[in-house]
Amino acid sequence: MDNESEVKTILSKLNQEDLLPHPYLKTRILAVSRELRASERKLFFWKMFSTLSMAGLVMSLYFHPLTNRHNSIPLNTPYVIHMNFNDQESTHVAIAEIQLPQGVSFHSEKNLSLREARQLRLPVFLTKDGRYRLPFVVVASGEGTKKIHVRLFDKDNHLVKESFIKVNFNRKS
Amino acid sequence: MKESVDFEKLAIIVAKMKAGDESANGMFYDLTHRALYRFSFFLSKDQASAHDLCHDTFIKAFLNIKGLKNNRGALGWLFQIAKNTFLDQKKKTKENLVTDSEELETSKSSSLDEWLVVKKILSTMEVQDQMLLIMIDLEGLSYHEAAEAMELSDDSIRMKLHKIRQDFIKKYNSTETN
Repeated sequence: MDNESEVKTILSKLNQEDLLPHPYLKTRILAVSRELRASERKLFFWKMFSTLSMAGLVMSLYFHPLTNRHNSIPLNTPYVIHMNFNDQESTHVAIAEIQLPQGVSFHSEKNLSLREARQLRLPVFLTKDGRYRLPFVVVASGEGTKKIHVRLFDKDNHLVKESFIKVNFNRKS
Repeated sequence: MKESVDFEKLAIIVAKMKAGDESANGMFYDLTHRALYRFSFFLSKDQASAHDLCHDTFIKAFLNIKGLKNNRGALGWLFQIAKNTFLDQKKKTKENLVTDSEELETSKSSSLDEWLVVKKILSTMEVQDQMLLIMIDLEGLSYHEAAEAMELSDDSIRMKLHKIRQDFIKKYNSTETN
């Protein structure tokens, strides 16, 4: 008989019924694994929750008007503000009235007298894509968040909508 | 009489476990616990330690079943987890978990006689050698499956096993004559 057969013969004498684990081992193992799985799921949920919350917080900070880098404008630098209206709002808009707060003035290289105006009425342009846009240039001499008051009128001069644009002016930007 | 594990059935159960069927865990246990307990028994110093090793191995297997690549090789993979768990424990406790003869005598019972004789012989051998002999000659794993579990090449397993078997037979025969 070769070595392999001899070893297998010896080992085959072992009666497997003689050596069995405790009958409660299965129950214990299954209960522990269920418990661990449940805590893993909980941990996964909280990880996802915290990740999504963090992402949400970052997004909200990024898109918040006060932290939006487009709204953080250096002082004494002309800055173009684009106001866009969707179709529903702009159906009847023909004129926009812009009223500036203290420390902010209009800017035009061709028409320097605009700097003195506190309020302007401008026609609203319809672009090729069917949206209305209202671009205007401002320049600020004082720091802080300023509210630009915009009122939109239809062709019969009836007020359609009124809104405020918050702009943050900084010495450094 | 030794029952061998049905590897095809085992592969189907493992597929169910991977798909998230928790009831398959029980079936997996039913199919593998005898083999794993025997394996743990030979490695551990006593039956209580064998139970603990078995317990830890099953828990690790259930939690990491998705990492198993070859479903049919689940038993070898289970032995690999048991081996690593055993070696980790051994490192931590820094104590020799191999049974000494005195302890064997005290825990000896008539139904366990044969097991204890084999265990006594195995305890005189290197841990890796014990594992190879149990996996291949007792549990019926192929050379390749055992090689995967032990992280060795098929050829080195073949060469080692030849010497291990000779050593085992020699020791077994000397025990019988005593």
